[in-house]
Amino acid sequence: MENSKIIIGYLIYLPIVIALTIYVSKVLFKNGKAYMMNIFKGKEEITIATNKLFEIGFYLINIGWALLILKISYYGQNEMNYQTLIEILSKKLGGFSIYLGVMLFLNLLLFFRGMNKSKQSNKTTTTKISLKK
Amino acid sequence: MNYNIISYIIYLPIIFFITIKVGWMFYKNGELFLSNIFGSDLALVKKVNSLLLTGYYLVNLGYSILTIAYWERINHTLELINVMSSTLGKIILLLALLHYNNIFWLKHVTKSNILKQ
Repeated sequence: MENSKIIIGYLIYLPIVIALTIYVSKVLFKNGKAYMMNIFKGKEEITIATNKLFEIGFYLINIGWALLILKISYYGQNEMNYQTLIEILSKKLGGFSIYLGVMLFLNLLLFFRGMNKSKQSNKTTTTKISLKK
Repeated sequence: MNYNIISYIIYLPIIFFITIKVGWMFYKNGELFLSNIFGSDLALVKKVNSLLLTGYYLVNLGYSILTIAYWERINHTLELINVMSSTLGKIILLLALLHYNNIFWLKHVTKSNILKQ
């Protein structure tokens, strides 16, 4: 039956995708905390809260997208064989990995922009203080 | 019992769990940001935060229940998985969109407060 092969495909796709998302977000936000510390100048509470909020957003957006693109549609004349299943799965998983990479870089970009902003505000405050003196 | 009812029975707990869990996380982590906006008025912060949480629950749970009215007809297991995953995916993406929207506005409101301290 071709349907059972599609379900096998789902059973392979879902664990891989969810594990990948969890792994990437763990790595990203374990290291992101250092950036956040830098941005908020070592204020622990707000660092943890912001980090958590971004982490939730990351999970939501990636798992939501993974579920949305889950559907495997097969319109072939013959019954679906394992070769086509593997090809479809590789397309989906590869596409999702590339998408995850793009999301990772977008988040890194956010961190770097935050760092630049906080550096600039540091400079302006120090110049203001020096002007006052 | 047809496939549609089975899918509702699977769908509702999942979406309720996700919405309530995520809302609770926002509630806990957002208090700090709100206290940054409103200064040291802790009672006001608590009230605004719980109002926001209520609004979030109403909007999201209401929407997720509403989608059941427009559910497609399901004839076998494969369709069940397809329809459910696409609906769940859409709602979770919507949550993510609302969340990033919130962060964006919070950033605009609090930026001046946090960075100038």
